Amino acid sequence: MSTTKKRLLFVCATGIATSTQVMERVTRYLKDEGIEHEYLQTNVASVANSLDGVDLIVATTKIPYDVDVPVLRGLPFVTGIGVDDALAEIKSILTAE
Amino acid sequence: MTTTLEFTENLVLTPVHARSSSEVIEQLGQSLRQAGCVTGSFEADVLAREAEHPTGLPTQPVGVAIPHAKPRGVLRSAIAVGILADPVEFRVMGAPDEAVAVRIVFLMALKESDRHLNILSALTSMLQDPDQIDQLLHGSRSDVHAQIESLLA
Repeated sequence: MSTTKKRLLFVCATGIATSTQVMERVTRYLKDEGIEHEYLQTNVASVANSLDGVDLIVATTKIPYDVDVPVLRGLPFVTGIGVDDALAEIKSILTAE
Repeated sequence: MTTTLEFTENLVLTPVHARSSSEVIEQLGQSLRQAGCVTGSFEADVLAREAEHPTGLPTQPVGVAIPHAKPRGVLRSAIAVGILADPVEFRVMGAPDEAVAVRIVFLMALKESDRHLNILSALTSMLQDPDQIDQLLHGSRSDVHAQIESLLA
């Protein structure tokens, strides 16, 4: 399928709660910005098995080991503080060559 | 969806006097237990999860925490709210090395099947509004209940 789509992985402790929050806000932004994307949501225990093709991880929980993919804190999307900066950083990571 | 979330005035505690995050979780857990919403090791599960995946949020003007656990021990989905007289320290979500002084705690008891309820979404949109947080801090039990219930409706 399309290889230009950016793939995001949204992570929280359960993979259903705060990661949904973060996913909704971030994917809305990416749509507005016209950045083609797809995403997965997972719990922190399953991150290692979900990394295939992932360009960026946004996590509301600490990922307790090193991964090869940039990891961004999802906390701003839960507190509402620092959202613009976080979105700008996501855009710069996803649009960098 | 017909799934209901129990949130009665009995599940609002204000003011809560607690010296630690564990104490406030125990007190809120007790109110859920008395309402027949949780059983077994619910509070212990929440505390264990909080130790591993903390839920403190550095919101303004005061910090908020949203502790929860796996559905084990949840009989009926419910939410209990505590407004603390004095702040207690929670670890920050996603940054366990950092602490936040918390005065509002939402203890969520959710069954797996209720994840579509998107309660968290309703709560966090409120928590992003400092005026609403301020209102929770200063409201009576019935004010706090009405404010939160209007979100969940």
